[in-house]
Amino acid sequence: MKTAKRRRYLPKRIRILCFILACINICASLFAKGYVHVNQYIEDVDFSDTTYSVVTDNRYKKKITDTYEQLCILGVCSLADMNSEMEYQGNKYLMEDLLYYFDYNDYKYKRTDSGILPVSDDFDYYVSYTLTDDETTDEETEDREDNVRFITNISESVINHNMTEDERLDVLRNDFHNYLLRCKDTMTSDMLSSNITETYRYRDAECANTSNNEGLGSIEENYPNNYLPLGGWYYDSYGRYIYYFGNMDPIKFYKYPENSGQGVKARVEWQKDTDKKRRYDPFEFDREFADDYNNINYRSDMVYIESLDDYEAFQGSTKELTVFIAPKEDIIKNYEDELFARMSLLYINNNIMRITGVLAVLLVLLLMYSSVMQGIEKTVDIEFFEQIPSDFLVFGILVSGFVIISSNTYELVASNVLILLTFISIFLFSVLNLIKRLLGKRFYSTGLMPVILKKYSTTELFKERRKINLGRRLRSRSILLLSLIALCALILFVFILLGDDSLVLLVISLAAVCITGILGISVLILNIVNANQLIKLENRIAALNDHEDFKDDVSEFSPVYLDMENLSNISDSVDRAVEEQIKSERMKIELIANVSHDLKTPLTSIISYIDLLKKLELDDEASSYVKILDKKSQKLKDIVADVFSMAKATSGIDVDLTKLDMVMLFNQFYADAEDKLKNCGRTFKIDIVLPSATVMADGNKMYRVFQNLVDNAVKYSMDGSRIFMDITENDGYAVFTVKNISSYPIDFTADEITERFVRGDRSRTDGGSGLGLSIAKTFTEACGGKFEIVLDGDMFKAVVAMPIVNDDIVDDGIVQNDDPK
Amino acid sequence: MEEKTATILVVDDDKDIVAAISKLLELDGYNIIKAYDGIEALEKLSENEIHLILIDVMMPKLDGLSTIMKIRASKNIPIIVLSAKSEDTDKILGLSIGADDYITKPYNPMELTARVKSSLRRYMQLGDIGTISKTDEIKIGGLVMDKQAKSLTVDGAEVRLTATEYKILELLMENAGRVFSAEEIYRKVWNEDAYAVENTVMVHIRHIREKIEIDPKEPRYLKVVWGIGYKVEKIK
Repeated sequence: MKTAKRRRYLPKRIRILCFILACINICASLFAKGYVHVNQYIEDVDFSDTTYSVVTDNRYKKKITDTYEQLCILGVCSLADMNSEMEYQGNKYLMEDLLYYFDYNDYKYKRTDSGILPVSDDFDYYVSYTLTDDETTDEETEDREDNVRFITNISESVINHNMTEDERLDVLRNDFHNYLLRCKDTMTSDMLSSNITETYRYRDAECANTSNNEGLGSIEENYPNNYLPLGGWYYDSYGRYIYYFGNMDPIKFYKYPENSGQGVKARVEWQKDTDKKRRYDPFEFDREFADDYNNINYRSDMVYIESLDDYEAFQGSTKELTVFIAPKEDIIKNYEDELFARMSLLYINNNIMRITGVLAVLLVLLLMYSSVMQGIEKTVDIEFFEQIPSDFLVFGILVSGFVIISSNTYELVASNVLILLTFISIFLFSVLNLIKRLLGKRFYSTGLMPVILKKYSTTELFKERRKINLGRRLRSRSILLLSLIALCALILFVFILLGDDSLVLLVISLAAVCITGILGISVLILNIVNANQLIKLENRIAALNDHEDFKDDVSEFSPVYLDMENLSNISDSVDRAVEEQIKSERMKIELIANVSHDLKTPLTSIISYIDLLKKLELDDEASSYVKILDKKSQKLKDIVADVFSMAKATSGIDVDLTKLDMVMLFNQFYADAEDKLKNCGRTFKIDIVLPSATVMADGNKMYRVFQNLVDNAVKYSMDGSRIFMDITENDGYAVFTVKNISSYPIDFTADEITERFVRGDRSRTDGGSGLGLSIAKTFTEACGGKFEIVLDGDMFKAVVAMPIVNDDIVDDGIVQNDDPK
Repeated sequence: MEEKTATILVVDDDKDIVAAISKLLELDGYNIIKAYDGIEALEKLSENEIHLILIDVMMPKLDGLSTIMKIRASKNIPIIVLSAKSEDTDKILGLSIGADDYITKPYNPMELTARVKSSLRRYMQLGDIGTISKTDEIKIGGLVMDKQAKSLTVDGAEVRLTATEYKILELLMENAGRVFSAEEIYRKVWNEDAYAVENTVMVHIRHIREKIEIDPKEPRYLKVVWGIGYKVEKIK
């Protein structure tokens, strides 16, 4: 009662719904999980900070750093050596080194009349250098403005030469967003710091008067993530300029005093020492000096230039440098759109996590409920869960198992715990269900394949396909594969012939090879499967041939199913035929029995009353009639008995084959009949060659054979003549022969005499039923022997040949020991 | 009780046969009661004192075999089956459900009377002696061999055997059911090596058969197993 009520509260449909929800839950969880994996770094960001900027984005960070470095170096190297006409006045080798470095790093730039102009798609920039002339120290602003050299990709309507440096900076600060500005060795920005700092490490010249051996110190500076390092440059006593604005590794240049001999010498000197380093700083090596370089003998003891005694480094000034970078408007817009989309996805994701948590709780409750109910009702409530294909269960185990294992490494926040719980419950449910199925041997039958196959079996296509037998399928499949291979080969041939220029041909030939390969493999697999079916078919045929039962049935999807059915039908019809044969045989025997009964009953009366008649006092005439009646009735009795026994023997029933000795049988017979034979007025010549002859026969039947043949010989031989009887061996047969000379001319054939009711002497009426020889023949043949009548003139010869069996064979036909010979 | 006054119940659905048998047996001085089916036979059996029953197998209403089973539930009188069914299986079935003898139609009237006589004699003697058998006595059906007196009775009538015949029969009866070859019999009885003794043994067997069997051509006790040897059938 109670359980029935409970059942009503949670009917089947709701349970199904719960299960579907759980499935959605799993999918959602998986999605959320995967998404979190991809975007994990976003979790670190505080989304309430609206200043979250393109500049701090990792994708742009490198570009910004590169651009910044480019601009700084350009400012210090190029702009510092420009005259008021924006013409470069400095060392041309230095400029070459610089450009080499730009090319090496794939920095984009173009050469213009006013020097090198960096190209940037993403950023607006402005770089300026204020020349400080020691000689002219007048404070005139106009003069000072003349000393400012700048390049920019911002349009002239915004920034131009007519403005003062301060005006330009104001415009830049006000009109641009997310900018970074370096000015007078300080970094400024319109963005708030996200408090994440980045560390920049580089070498630095301590100062000119440092007297220790190492002229360089290592500097480690921390900057907030939206700030770039200030960096700087130094020059050493070997004429090198080293820059360190953004990159970890400093950039090293040479300054050649007007391409003088000392310059070359200094450079070559240094190269000798730092030969190995060349590989890591390729721009240190100038091709122009490759010849010089090649002429230099290597020195095995290598000395770093920094550790030379006379090495000195001097800090260069960067106070005059101003660099401004701001992302272009469309970049910012794109980035904001992207950011918004990403954040809303994350928002959805968070909500999904919440929903999956709730669903997970629901599912766990459902599963608990279901198992509790099963326990209470002691019935297996499987009607729905049973319908989940086994494949899904296996999949469920794999997926949930994987999630459970991989979950261990993550923080167990609330939503994660719920997801984990869901997967654990699914895992347990699947495992339990699967074990149940395996134990119940329902694993395969509840799988996806059998279900699909079942559905497929009801389609028209299946019915059509079934009519095609396996041989035809194999043939068409092979032909298809063969033509595919041929086509593939043709395409490859054409491809090779035309050369590998054409991409289309390459794709086509690759596709052809792939399709052929896949098809070929699947055809091979199919063939193996079909071969197994063929083996089954062969076994079936063999079983049919041996009249054995065949248990190994094929499914109705097997290509040999119809053949199997046909064979089964053949087998059935053979069985039916045999059964009918047996039935008709039995009917025949019954008929014989009935006929014999019907004949015997009146005969019994006749014989009985004749006997009674004999006991009466009759006159002589009547008495003689009764005698005749008596004789004839006895004869009739014999005939009926003979016909009956012959019919039985012909039908093969009542023949009991045992191992017996034919010679002994003859002796027994002869002894039994001796008295009668001695008084019949014939002479018997008996010649038994064999000491014994073991044959398989029915003793009673063989006795009748001997009896009939000898009776026959006595009956139809001349009085006083000789009758020959002998037993010999001939070709594995024990042969019994009876010979006599007929007392009257033989006017019948050997075949005729053994036909039923045919008698040699039609005139004689006494004795025998006329079945003697027929019975002898029938009985001999029923025992597996051969019977033959040979007529030669007046000589009548009956031959009975029985196959001799090995003495070692016992009655059940098993050979116990072989003849040692 | 005198043999001649014995009452015999003849049951067959063929009235002519019943009449013929009745006449035949009446000539020998038996009292005859006739019945034409199994039910009637049972009625007659309860109404009269019957000493022997001759019964057909194939009969209307209640067939012979069922009738025999019913009779055997209460009575011990000899029952001879008279049937046109001559198969061995039919004979074995009839004897196993309680018939004492089995005669196939068409019967030899002489044989019929002889068998009736022997069955009755056995039944009467059995009544006198009871079922107690001496230790030195071998009993096979109606054959009783007293080894102390070296005598043999067939259905109570003494049979005279020669010493050799007695020895052969003793050997066969002691090992009833077992088949002995002629050589074996010769060796055991004559205590001599056997060579071409088939005839000798067979002649003796034939003589024994003529003495103990009602129909020597269709022996009940001493049988020839053609091609193998001789045996005495095992009958309880």
